[in-house]
Amino acid sequence: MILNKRPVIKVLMAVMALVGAAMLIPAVVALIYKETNVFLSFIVCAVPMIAVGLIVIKVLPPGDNNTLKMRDGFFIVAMAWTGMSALGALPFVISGAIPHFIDAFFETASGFSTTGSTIVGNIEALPYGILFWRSFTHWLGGMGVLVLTIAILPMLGIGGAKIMRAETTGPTMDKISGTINDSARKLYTIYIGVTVVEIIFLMFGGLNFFEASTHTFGTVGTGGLSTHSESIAAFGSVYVEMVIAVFMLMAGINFNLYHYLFTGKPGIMLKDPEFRTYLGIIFGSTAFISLMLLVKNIYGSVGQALRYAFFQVVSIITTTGYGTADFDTWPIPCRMLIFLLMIVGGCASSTGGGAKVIRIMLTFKLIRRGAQTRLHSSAVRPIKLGGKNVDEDTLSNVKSFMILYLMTMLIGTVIVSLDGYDLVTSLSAVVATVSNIGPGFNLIGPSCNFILFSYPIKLLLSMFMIAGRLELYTIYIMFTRVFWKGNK
Amino acid sequence: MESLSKRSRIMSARRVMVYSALAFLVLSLISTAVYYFSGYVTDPARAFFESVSAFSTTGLSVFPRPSDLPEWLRLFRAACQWIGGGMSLAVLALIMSSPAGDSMAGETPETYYRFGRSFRTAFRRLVLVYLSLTAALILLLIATKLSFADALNVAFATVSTGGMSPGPVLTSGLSETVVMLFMLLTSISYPLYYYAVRKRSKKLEKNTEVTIYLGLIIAFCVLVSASLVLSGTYSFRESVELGCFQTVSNFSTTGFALDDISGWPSFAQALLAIASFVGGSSFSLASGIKVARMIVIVKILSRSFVVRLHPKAIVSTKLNSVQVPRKMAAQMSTFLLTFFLFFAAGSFIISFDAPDLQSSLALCASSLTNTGNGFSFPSFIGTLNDFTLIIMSLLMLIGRMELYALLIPASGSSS
Repeated sequence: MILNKRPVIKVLMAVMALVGAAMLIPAVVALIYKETNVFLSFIVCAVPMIAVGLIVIKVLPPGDNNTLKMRDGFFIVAMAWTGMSALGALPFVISGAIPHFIDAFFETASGFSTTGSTIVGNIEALPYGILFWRSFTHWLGGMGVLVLTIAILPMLGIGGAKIMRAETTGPTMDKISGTINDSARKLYTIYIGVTVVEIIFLMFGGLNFFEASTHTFGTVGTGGLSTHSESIAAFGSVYVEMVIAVFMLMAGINFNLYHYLFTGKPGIMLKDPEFRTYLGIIFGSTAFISLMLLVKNIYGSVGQALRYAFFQVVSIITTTGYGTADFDTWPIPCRMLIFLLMIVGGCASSTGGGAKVIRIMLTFKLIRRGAQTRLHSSAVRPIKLGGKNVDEDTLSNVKSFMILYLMTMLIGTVIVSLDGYDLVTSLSAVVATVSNIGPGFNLIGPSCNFILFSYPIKLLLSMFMIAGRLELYTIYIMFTRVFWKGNK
Repeated sequence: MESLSKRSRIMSARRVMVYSALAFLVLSLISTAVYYFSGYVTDPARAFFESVSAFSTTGLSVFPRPSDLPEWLRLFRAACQWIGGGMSLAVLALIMSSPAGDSMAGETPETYYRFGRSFRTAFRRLVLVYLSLTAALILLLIATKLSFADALNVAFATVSTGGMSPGPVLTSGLSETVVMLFMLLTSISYPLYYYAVRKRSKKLEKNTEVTIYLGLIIAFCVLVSASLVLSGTYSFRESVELGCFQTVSNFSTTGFALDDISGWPSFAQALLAIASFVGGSSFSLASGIKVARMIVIVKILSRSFVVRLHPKAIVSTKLNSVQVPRKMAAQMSTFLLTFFLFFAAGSFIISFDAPDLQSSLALCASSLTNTGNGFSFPSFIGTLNDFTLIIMSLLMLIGRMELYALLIPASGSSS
């Protein structure tokens, strides 16, 4: 057998038990709001998941070989995310909030992958417990339930180094600390800290605890599912919008950099080339879009234009997808820029999706070098980032990732167009899901939803969301022959 | 000594690129003057657009009804496309006759190394193929009862992959089939015709690129036709005819269109767009990314999966049964990224003047791949403003010159 079955099953069971345990929180919310039916549907799912998970872990005897190989790592990550989305969909179905399983699967995959695309039209009609669960999946997905599991993996006697490799988002140049467990712990301490602070800030803005927490989950996880159909526009408050915008912006930054910030080395953060480019893109795009909005008289004052432009730019580049305005009614160049920002995405090792700023930077450098080698047959010059040479293996990984991303867009659009909707709808459906954005353009614009697609296409889009979240390779590799062929 | 010779080669590669780009521009300017002084185009930018569109073998036109133009002007347009095709052959001959290891030869598959010992022989051989194809098509079109002038118009636009419509002159199904066949022929690697005549069957057998290209065309023809049949827009027979014609038209980046494709199902439209992006086989007159590059890129991708599991694995990348050197593979994949960078940037600039996202993307793709009318955008080329038309003209030139020509000033004078 090519997989090391026993530890793989143990890890997956641990993940299942954790998701089950996580369901107890929305169950409590349902109880508070006296939604008995919803409460029961969470309990019906949570109790067996926790019980089966724990029992299997206890009963399975420890094998002689507990090491996880690359292949096991990929398998665990792919299965965990797909399984989480399938199991997490059950409360939606059982409670009757989303009756069809594939719809519910789409919604949950959108949650765990921090996408924020929804198939629900009248969101306010959903019960509180369900709304909470929708947002909570963002929070869990945001950092990756797996990073959490890494912290408890030592209890299972399994090293998690191989999992971290499949999980971390984007290429990184340095690790903040030697051991994986340590860095995982540091990452989620920061994550929880940021969450608590944002909830407090939002409550100062007049939101109740329920609204503050659900929107915080959507922000720090860069998810974007709201408890209102109008998204953030429903609050109509500049303060709330700015708090959320700033926290989205923070969630799109490489989390490793916060470690330097808190240990008194802010210089490293400020000098980070990816961080600077990220801010540059945000401010440049905001300036451009607000100028266009003013010129075309969409908003009357500079303040208004800046307010909506800034929020939308941050919301899209961090791949959150919250809305304060329907960008699909803005001038065409603004829409085109927003579309391009969807592809860029946040920084590496942030909770944001997309291709990642660092990869876009390296792609530009590769293109420049390509033009030079066309003209000079001389030796290939190294590419530098922040004064350091980037090694050729990383570069060829970046290149193949970008090409894979483009191919996904092109082939994905062809398949989605089978549903017969126009090409911009089809293309943006693929980009919005692979980049984990949420809304797209035309028929799936910010004021619409994904219900219109057929079930097979919804399944495909769900797969794109999960694949996009896991840097494409983790999911795609399951469909390759080389994965299922044993080592020779 | 060695560094000196290397230096002169670098200079020559750059000089050649600059000269070719200049030649395209100068000819376009002359032709601009012709349109302008003929009185049929009153705006110089529009005349320039029409000229570049012909020389770059794109085929977009500012004339809403080309059949209203006088005979001489229609022939002039057709001749411009044909000359543009010939100039592209000159660029190809130059690449193929460059010594291996030279930067100009960077992406030449080994099968075509030393196709001609010198630029002159390579060019002569290519032009011979070009002339034979043109002559054969003219004769066949006359045989299908086209007038001599119409036959010239259509043949020039077809063999050069220009695709500027001379008006509705293809009246019979037979003439359409003949045009479709020649669009296909001119998008197949030209050196193969030479090898076929010279009976170098080994070179032909080894050529997997053309086999894959033909396979792709058949698959796309079936899918596009099926999508038309199912949508019920046309009868079964019409669906197959139109579907196959348009698929070949887009793959060869000719851009002839027998009907307005904006009413076609979006699945068919999406496939046609992909066909244009892929383009024909390398060293043919088709533009776009080219099948050879796509083959190598797909192999690079499949290699990247193997490497994720077996970091030390050595996987060979083959094209036409020959190992592709790493550097060449790297150049091909960079080409794809560059292509999409231009696509993104071009669409963004065009979006200032386009009515919606789809037409911004379609107009840019149509220019960059030199396809012309194989995309669905409202026929409002004439209503676009001058700035947009000039940007589109530049994109056409960039596409025709395999992208890098206009990167020369950008890459700096670091040599």
